Amino acid sequence: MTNTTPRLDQAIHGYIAAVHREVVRCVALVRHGFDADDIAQDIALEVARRPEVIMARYPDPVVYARRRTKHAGISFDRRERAQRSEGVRLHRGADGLLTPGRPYVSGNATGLDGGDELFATARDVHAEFDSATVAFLDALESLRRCCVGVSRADLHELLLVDGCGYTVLEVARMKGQARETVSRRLNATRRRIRQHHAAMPHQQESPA
Amino acid sequence: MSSTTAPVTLRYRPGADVLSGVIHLGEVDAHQLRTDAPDADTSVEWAPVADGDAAGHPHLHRFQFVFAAARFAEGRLPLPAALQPVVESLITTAHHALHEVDDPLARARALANATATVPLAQLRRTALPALCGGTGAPPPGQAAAVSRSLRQVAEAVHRRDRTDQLARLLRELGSTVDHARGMAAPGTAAAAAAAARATPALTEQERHHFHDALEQLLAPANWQAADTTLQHLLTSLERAPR
Repeated sequence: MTNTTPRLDQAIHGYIAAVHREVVRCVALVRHGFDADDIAQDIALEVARRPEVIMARYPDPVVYARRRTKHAGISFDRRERAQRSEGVRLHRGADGLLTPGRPYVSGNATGLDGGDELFATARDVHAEFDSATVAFLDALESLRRCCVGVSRADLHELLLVDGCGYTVLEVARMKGQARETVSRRLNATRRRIRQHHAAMPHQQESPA
Repeated sequence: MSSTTAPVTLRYRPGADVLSGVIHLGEVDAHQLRTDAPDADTSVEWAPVADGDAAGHPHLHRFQFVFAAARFAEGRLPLPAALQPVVESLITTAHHALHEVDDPLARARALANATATVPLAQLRRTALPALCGGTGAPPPGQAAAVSRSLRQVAEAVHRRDRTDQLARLLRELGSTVDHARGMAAPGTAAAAAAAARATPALTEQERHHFHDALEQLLAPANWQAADTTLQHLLTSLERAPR
């Protein structure tokens, strides 16, 4: 009797292990501590969740690992920052106490009828087609209206901080400016977006 | 960290056979860290110690070994002597625990940790010459040629031995030496050598060829010879199917 399952398991295990090893080979050269192992583990588990799809598309695990590594480092950093609560702001709640979190609208606002934040909705490709298309158009239009009068450079800064999880200090370094300067500009941009958002009728139908 | 010893945290992934370690050297200036890759399967980071007798001298601060168990079994894991028994115990225990686990996800998740204390003298860069330099560069174009030969041999082995372990490792070795732009991969070579010894599908002469080729692959200067040996091996594998 031919028993294919152990062989398939073995092949999947071999592929996952090879991906893990190659990610370690690449990432260990540029990361500190156990980062390389953590990133490799993330990618390996991703493969373990849907091995057949990935193995069919990338028969060579080394090739897959090298392609995936490019983006995995960015996701890893973003998650680390979130876990350290970097970028979380304190805001005064209804009880007058300061709590960490975002007020109802920052650069990345919730949609007109609640739900996901605009940046998240606009890039969500996994939602069902119909609702995703409508939500996508709604989100884009709302985002466009919120951002009227804001320069492209200011929006880019805001997207880096509120959408991609960079700290103000990192963006300031990128621009070669003082943290305070960037922070002031970000606050002004947020204020302007907040004003536009507040001026929008919250229950209106989708724009034609 | 005391003035003469440093604590070490070890992490071993038995599924992928990867050993990582971080040595806690106290306050370390991030700008003075230096990363080396003596070969494609090893990466190490050096940092100068801030105080004590060894102040200013680079010490081992982090390391990563791919195919650590395979290298350890061949006595080719260049770690400080004080770490060797801890690593041996860690690897053995982890593999024993995973012995009867077949689920790929469970194997991928498996992790073993250990801590140890190592004398600072054993962590000095000068005390670990095997982790310092590279293995030299192969002649131009040789990495691609060896990689191609390894893949051809892997296909021939796959046709002969359907259990696939050796073929998979040979493919990985081929990809690694090609992508690493001419660096040897002693871990992958050690794992392939162990698989070649274990597979019943090879003749004694073929095993001998395998051993020679994988030994030659350890030094990029010998890759031309390794390529020739691999071509002999390929001819042998294709002429005499078992």
